[in-house]
Amino acid sequence: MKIGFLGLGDMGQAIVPRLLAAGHTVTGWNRTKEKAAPMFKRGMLWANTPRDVARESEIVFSIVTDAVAVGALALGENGIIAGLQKDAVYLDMSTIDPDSSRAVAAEFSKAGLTMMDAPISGTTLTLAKGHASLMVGGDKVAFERVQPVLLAIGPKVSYIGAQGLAVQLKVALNMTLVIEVIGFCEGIALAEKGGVPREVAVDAFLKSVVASPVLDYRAPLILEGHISDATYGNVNLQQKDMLLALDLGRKMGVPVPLGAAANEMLNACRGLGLAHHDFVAVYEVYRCLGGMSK
Amino acid sequence: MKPAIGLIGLGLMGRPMGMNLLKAGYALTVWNRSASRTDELVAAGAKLAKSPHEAAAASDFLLTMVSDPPALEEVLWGANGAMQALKRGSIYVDSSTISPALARKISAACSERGARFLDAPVTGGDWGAKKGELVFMIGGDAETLKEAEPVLGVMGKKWFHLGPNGAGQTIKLAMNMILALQVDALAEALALTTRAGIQGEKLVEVLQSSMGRSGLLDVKAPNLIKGEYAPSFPLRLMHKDLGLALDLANQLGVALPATAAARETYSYVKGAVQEDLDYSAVMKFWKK
Repeated sequence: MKIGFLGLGDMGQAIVPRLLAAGHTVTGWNRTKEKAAPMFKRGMLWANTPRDVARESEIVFSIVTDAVAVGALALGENGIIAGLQKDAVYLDMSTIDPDSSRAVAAEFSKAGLTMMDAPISGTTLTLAKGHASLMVGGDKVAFERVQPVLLAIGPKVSYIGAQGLAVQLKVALNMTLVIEVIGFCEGIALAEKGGVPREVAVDAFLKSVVASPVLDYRAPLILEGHISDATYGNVNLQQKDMLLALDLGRKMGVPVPLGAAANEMLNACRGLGLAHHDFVAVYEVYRCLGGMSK
Repeated sequence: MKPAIGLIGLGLMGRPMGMNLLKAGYALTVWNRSASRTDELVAAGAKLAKSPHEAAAASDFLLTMVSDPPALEEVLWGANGAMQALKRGSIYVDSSTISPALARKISAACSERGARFLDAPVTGGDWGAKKGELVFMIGGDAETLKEAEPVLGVMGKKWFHLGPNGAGQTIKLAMNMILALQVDALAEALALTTRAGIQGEKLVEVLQSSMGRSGLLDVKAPNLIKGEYAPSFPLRLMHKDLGLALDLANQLGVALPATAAARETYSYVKGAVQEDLDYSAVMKFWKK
């Protein structure tokens, strides 16, 4: 199929090759063209504006950092909305707040066009391994049409419900992810302070019932000297999503005390100068607070 | 020559502040989002402006007292907003509780218009406002403060110059954090001792004879014990202020575990209770 792809950061550059490998034609766009260079070598085409991308495409994807960025490429005279065909589908994979997603989708609806929210759970690592999962909200018939293409991106594709519900779910899921990983660090710190060697503690956790996919790939980063091995999601990035969760909790009247506590631990990370590491570096905060740092 | 004063925001605090200005002989022009709130001041001699723009145009000294950052942004930059009408050489004092960042943004906009700005959030409640005994936390330059002092003196008994624009708001947020946490702590302690079978009055009596005594607990403890929460400072505003404090902490990268936890407790009560209650209603997390 002819696919359009906007947003060629880390995630975009992990997704586009999978679409190309599945035999699709991909036309891409990024706010800064140079950053997209590796994709041209792989056979991705380029268009000068989101509108031009949309004009060429049967399915258009976007994955960018926040609601402002989504609005900027989706709407306006050079936006996706200005070029999207009537029977095409636009899927935004960005993790943004549900209300913003619905506001953009409403503009598409008014123009007789189809927009869905399709956030993706996974890192560049899980994508490369073919393990990513997608959650989709919006028109069910449109979902069934695009599902084969989504399966080229990741094997786990779930239809969630009405447009906006997939990002709602993603924000909740990301909050739980952060709480889980920070909880893991808290437990390991407790063990290590009591005398259990760190590698032994990590190994035991990963062999126990608290093991999980995210701990499998993140836990090894807290072993001595390994924190810079990979940055799947740095502190700032995870905090962006955590703030969305706290905001949603406040707006909807659902207290999220563990999410709130986890966010303060992310602040503590930044205070210690760890903002650009993978957020599992919160382990250093526990070592510092527990008097275990050198 | 007394400056002509414009007052925007005639809520729980703005109305008594306005009354004190009128009683002190200032020419006052007022505007409020809901017009019904202007009646009392107009009856007492204030002129009614049709918009924030008109109020600012009629003033040498503009004062705003609104509930939150979005409300203030609407007043300043919305349709018929005040910022465009701010007179060169005038003074603008905002006593709303907003973010330090917004205070700095307002300061820059005022500079462009040749006006001078002070962030001057207050403490003292509606009771302090009525008595003219508010305490102002000031951010801005010393010269502007000096010129504003006669007007501030009509509404308040004390002011602290805390630094450049934004400093007043920073201190206010930190102060409200402490008040919110203190009342939350008392509520938790009462929940604990009550469940253990001891009357709340006894805990409070001991507290008041100890290092834990405070003026705040004197005022708020009866609310928590009686279960009556007539608003002196509404919970929804304290909740908003906790959010502003946490936002500031997020920007600066400072962990505030207790404040973050307390905000969730206040969030629960805010959502669960229909009426507009005082922030001491945080007790409702434990007691209907």
